[in-house]
This record gives sequence, structure tokens and C-alpha cells, in this order.
Amino acid sequence: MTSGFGATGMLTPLIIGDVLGTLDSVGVPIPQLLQMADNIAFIALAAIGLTIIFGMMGVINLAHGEFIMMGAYITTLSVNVASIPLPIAMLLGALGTAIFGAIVERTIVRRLYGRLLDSMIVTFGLGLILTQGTRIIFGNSLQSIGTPFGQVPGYTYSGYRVLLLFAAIGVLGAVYLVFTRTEFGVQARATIQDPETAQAMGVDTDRMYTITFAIGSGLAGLTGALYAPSATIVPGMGQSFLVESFVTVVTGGSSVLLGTALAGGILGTINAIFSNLYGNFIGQIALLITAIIVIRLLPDGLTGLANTVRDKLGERQ
Amino acid sequence: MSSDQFQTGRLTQFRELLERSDAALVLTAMAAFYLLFLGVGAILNYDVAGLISILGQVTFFTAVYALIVLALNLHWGYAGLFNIGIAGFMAVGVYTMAMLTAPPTGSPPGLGLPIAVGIVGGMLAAALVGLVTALPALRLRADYLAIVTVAISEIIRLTYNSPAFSTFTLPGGIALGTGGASGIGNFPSNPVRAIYYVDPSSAASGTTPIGAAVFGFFEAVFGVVRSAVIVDLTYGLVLAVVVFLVYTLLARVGNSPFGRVLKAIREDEVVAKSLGKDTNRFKIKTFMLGCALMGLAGVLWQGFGTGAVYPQAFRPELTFYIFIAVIIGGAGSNTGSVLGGAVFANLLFLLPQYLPTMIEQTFSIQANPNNFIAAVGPIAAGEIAPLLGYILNQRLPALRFVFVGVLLVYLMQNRPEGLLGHRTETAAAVDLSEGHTPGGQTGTDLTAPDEGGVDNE
Repeated sequence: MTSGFGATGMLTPLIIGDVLGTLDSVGVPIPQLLQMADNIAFIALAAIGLTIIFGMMGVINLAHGEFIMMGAYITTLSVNVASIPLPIAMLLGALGTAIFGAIVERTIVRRLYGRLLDSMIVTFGLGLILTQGTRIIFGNSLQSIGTPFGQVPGYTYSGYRVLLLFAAIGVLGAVYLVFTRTEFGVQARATIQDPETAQAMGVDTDRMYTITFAIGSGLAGLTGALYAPSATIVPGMGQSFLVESFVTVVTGGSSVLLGTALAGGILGTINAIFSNLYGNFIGQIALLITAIIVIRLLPDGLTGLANTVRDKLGERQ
Repeated sequence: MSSDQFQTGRLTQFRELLERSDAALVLTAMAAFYLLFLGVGAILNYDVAGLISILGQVTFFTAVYALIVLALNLHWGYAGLFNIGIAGFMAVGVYTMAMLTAPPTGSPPGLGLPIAVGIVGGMLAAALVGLVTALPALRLRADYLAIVTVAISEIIRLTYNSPAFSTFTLPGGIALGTGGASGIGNFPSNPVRAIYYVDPSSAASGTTPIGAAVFGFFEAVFGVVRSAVIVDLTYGLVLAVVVFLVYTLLARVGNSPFGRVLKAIREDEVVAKSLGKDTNRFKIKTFMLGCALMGLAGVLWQGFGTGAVYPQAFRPELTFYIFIAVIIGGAGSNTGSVLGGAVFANLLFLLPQYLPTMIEQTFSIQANPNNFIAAVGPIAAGEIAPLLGYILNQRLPALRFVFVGVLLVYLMQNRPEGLLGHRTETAAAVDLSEGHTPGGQTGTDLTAPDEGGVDNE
């Protein structure tokens, strides 16, 4: 199964091909493994911006899918119209969406903290404006920029889609470091947990909310940017991310790194297994049902479970 | 008394009447909508049959929206249950009805049962799915319940969309089917037609005595020969009666001991519990009743109203339209629900469908560029017609949604309590968050459990 080695001449897919070849020789089902990586990456990336906006800040942001769409549009347009290299175009996509998120927070979301229904309805309205506004200005679809890296050597599977798993891991790690290891991260978490005390300690809480929301939006934009080369670029593309992302955030619980990684891993694996066995429809149903069961058993999500386990282990020592 | 003073006096009296009587308020609003749409019809040069048809549409959409908004208000306004899976429960209602009543020989096959069985079956099925949803979900935080309901609603839509259940065989050899992506179109036609036609499924089958009398009357007085518009108007009026019945039912529920417990739960669940009320049981019952009504609304709207049912009609957008209507009316008020449904149905749903033709007829716009650049470019030269032409001809549905979006954002920022939300009713608006200050920059009630879980009070 390792023919077509080095077909693309790219270093990374080559290594992946090497690793896969080794795994294949010990009997690991490779196509299923690739499918699983793809699914996990999709679910984790779909959820990553929302983990901050919904998981941490508690805003039911129904425009999350549209933020993703915006990142994809900025990236695609940068490449198509301005001929900017893809990696820089992706950064522009994330940055542009982050700036847009900051503006939205300042003008709209700011007044709605703690008002669950209201924030849901407003962001739904925002999503309508973004989708249909995009349709008015850019038409019903954009020309796709094409997927880089070709296929995984030896397999009929897009190498880029598999690389997204590593992108997801990298992004999750970066977010974790920012929120736990930096001055800003500590201040932001303090603001969200107890705004008054944070303010008394000299934190500019308004600024913290804006920046945190902007980071969440920027991550959504980054997801869109990452999927821009391999997705169909249409105004409604964000919709396909929406349900999965909310379900993942709720399943994961409140911890950005742990929750999203665990939920993405579990839901992605289940989706892949059931999709392989019984088709996409059952895969999706299995994902949703698993999520419902997890939420019912663990109201704090997988984070809560992980914390309990950690506490128990701590006691034993 | 001069005529001016007399008129002001009458106006004040009228305003007092509106404040006192909900019926007067709703009837006045409906009269205004009828007048508005008669005006629309007049601008478009409709004949009498066209005018009756437009009135029938106004009645139909007002009634179905009022019905579904009332059901949502029972969940959200009375019990504070945050259900964003409405589309799913409507789908269960109408699909069950269609599968029960479609003829066994058709494609997809059904059970061929009477319509009444189908309607009741649809409501029961929706209530059962509501029970299944409520059991695992009710002890969750409001936002988590919302996510569970939306997940269930997606499961339902995907299931009806799936080719796996397009036709299947029950144990016992009875064939059934959902029709997959193309849905079911062969269930019995609107029961109202049975009033007018000998064979309800065919207008050519001859008329019943009532049909002959009514059609004859309309033909003699208005010169209307299209009987279909009369049937549609009748269906709209029947739905209005259904709305009235449901309204009465909900008002009675609200005033009954059951309703008082709901109110107690909403105000303080711990107190209600410590007084010996099984609060979960009450919530589940309320959830099921609301779901049954959503199933009924599905049957009457997507079933008999549309004549065919397909999965695409139940995308999550539908749910949010209904939430918008609740917000417009003011959550917690039954009269507000009816009004909110009416405003949404007429001004945001129906009116924009007539706007392009009206504008084109009035201004005769010739320019019709086919992309945004060509449309915006001439503005620099002071020409706005290309932009108008572009939007009217190419992008009107999109623009309508943009408008709805802007309106939503504006309403929530400036009048979140809705038209009637300020009133104290059986079920006043619920504030789900604990200890927040509205519009507050300081009072978020979010705690992050893994980061210490300290209460912020």
C-alpha cells in the first residue's frame, strides 16, 4: 500500500506516508484512521472559537458559523483577487474576523451579557445579515482556491485534511498557553469569573471582554481560513459547523483545552466509527446522541469528569 | 362640542378600550393588516378573487404563527423552558399525521387511517418526543437544555431526510415511509374541502349543497368564480377558531392550580419543591403540552396548509422565526404572542413578497445589472437605479433576511420587552439568569467551574 511514495515532493506528507506505511504493516486500518483524524480535526476546529465565546463568556453566539464563513471568504478573496500567498491570506482571514468580532462586541454583544435569549436572538440576526449580505455582495459562491499538498502518499485521502489535525492541536495548545500562562489570560479569566473584584484589582474589564471576544472570533475566522482551501465557499457554509460546534462545547464543558480536546476526540471518533460502519447519517445521529448522553450524565461536561478524576488521584497520593 | 373635540374624545375612548380589552386589541391589529393588504392588492390591480386570496393568506399565516408562538410561550413564557428545537417537534407532528393517513397503496405508503386519527396521532407523537427530550434534559442549565433541544431537532430532521426510512416495513408486514428527501405529498387533502366538495381531493367532483350555496353567493355578489380562494379563506377562518380555542386553553391552564405551580416554579423552584411540589413532573407536563401544540401547528401549517411535507421545511431557521415573533410580542403574554405572530407573519413574512412587484410597478426600473460592482459603480455618478434594479431583481430574498436581521438587533438593543412584555399577566417574562443587571457590564453570572467555581454573589 506504499506505492506512489513522494509523489508530491512535500516533506510533511512524506513523513505521514512513512508513518502510515509502518502502521499499515502492523495491521492498523489506515483509511478509517485518516477519516477519524479528519473528523476529530473538523469537530475540534469548529468548536474552538465557540469554546471561548460560549464556553467561557456564556454568549450563545449563533453567528459563530458566519464568523467561520467570514474567515474563509477573506482568505479566498485574498488569494483570488490580491494573489496573496495562502499562509498570509489565512492569517488575514483570522485577523479580519478578530477585528470584526471586536467591533461586534463593542457595539452589540456588550449590552447582552447574562441575557441568554436576547444574545441568542441578536446573534441569529447578525448571522442573517452576514450570510445574506455576503450573498448580495459576492454572489452565490466563490471560486475555490484548491487544496494544497495533494493526497496522502499511497492513499486516496487529502493530505491537507489530515494536516488539519495537527493545526487543531497546535491552535488548542496556543489558546491554552495564552489563557493560563500570560498576564492577559489571567486577567481575562478573572474578569469573566468575577468582574467586580477584577475591576477593583485594576483590570480594565471592558477591554478584557472585547479582547476575549475578539480572540474567540479570530479563532472562528482561523477555522474558516483553514477550511477555505478544501471547502465549497458559499455564503451558507457556516451552517454546517454550527450544530456540531455547540454540541462539542457543551459536551466538553468549560475548560478550553481539556474540554474541547476530549469532546473533539470522543465525538470525532464516534462519528468516524459509525460513519464507516453504517454511513454518514448514522454517524451524525450517533454523535448527537452521544453528546446528549454525556451532557445528561455529566452536567459539567467532560471537563467536570476529568477534574473529578484528577481530584481523586490527588487524594490518593 | 366641536367635531375636533368629539374626535379626540372618541380617540381617547378607543385607546382605553385597547388597553382594557385584549380582544379589541387583536381585532384592531387584524383590521389594520387586512386594510394594509387590501391596499397592496389595490396597488397591484387585483380583481376581487385576488383580493379574497390575499385576505386568505393574511388569515392563514397570522393564524399559524399565532398558534406556534402560543405553544412556544407556554414553554418559554410560563415555565422558562428554553426550547430551540421547535422545528423538530412540528416535523414530528406533521410527519406522523401524514404517515398515519396516507393511502397504503401510495408512494411512500401510509396506514390509510382517518384524518382525525392522524391529527391526534401527530400531537401525541410530538408530545412523546417532547417527553423523551425532557427526561434527560430538564435538570440542565437553561443554555444546555437549549443545545439538547436543538440536537434533538437535528436528529429528527436528519432521520426524516434519510433514505433509510424512505420506505420501511414494520414488523407484521405493514409498509410505511417518510419519503426521504422528497417527503410525503399523498396524505389526504385539507379537511375543509369536504365542506364544499363531494370528493375533497378533487375540485371537479361537484359541490355539496353548502358549497353550491356559498360559491353561488360569491359569484352573484362579487363575481368570483375561482372557488379555490374561498376554500383557502375558509381554512384561514377555521384556523382562527383553533387559535382562539388554544388561547382559551392556555389562559385556563395559566389560571388553574397547575398554572399557579408553574408560576411558583418560575419564581423560585426551591420554594415550590420544599412545599411538596414535584417540580420536574410539572415541567415535563408543560413541556409535553407545548410540544403537542407544536405538533398540531405543524399539521395545520406544513401539512394541510402546504399540502406536502418535506424535511427542508424544518431547518433551524424556522425555530428562530418563531422566537422572533415571541420577542416582538413580548415573552410571557398570550395576547402578545398572538400579536407578535401576526406582526411577524404579515410585516416580515408576507409583505416583503409583494414589495418588489409593487416597487417595480410604481417606479418602472429598467436597469438590471447582474453583479454588485456593476450595481454600485454608477452611484458615484449619482445614479441609484442600477443598485435598486440589482437588489430588486437579483437579491430581494437576501435583502429581506438582512432587514429581518437588522430589525432583530435593533429590537433587542432598544425594546427587548416586546410589544406587550411590560404587562403583568399570568405568565410574565422570565429572567433566567441569576443576579444579573440588565445591560450590565458588571453583572455577568458566569462561573467557570474548572477555574475555581466561586459563586459571584
